[in-house]
Amino acid sequence: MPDPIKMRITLDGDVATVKVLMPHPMETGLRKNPVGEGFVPIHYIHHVVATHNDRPVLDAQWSRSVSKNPFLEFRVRGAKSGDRIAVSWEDTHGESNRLEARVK
Amino acid sequence: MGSDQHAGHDVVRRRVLGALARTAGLIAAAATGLLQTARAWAGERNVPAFDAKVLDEALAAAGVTDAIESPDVVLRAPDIAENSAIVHIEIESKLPGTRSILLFAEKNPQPFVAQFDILPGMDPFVAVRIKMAESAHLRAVVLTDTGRFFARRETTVTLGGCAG
Repeated sequence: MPDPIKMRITLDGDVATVKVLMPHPMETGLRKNPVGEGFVPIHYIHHVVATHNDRPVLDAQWSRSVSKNPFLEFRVRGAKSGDRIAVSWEDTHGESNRLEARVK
Repeated sequence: MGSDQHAGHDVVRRRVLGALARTAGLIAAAATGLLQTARAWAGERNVPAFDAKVLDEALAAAGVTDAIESPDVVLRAPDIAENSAIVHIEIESKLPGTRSILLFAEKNPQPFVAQFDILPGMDPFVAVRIKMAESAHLRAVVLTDTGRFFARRETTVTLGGCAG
């Protein structure tokens, strides 16, 4: 099970700024194996979706060029206190993770 | 063979293709499970664009070769990045009807870094941290309802390597 996603939401007027950290190795397949032969196998988040009250607002396709433990920031318009914002990811190994938080 | 027969064949062909496409769509939606809600809203992964090894090929596969340089696409990136494994990038579009933001790093082994499809309710802004193989031009391309626009800037990395 991957480490949990971290999310911080700040509300300014009706705009929620969402900052997300997704613990993940984001292996490019180009890194030498530190304890053996060859390279560490490729393994990265390739699809990220964000929703606002279950309605998709962001659909992202990523490459292995996104940094380890990816950071993502986006802004949701028309948000208010108590709204639910969720982020989910899916990686090249078929693993996935999701976190939902409420706007304070 | 008369033209009526041709027309009849075309109708059948379209029906069959339509049914196949719908079936494929349903299978894809079922397979994605967790993320299936968003699939209906946004584009599928453009595999040829992500697989392209050089910038020109990636831009062509993404269909954005003809994008116009615009000051309304704001690309913020450091002039000098001390850690090439973590380069903070912000992209903002001031263009109405922004549907997607695409990011490319010219010298990366695969230059197409990410695509962000902006759905109704989201501001056309994203920030993300990326790896850069070496000093290179970064290019942000914005797709709107009416066209394709881009901004680019040079970022120098002082410690190379996309391996981290």
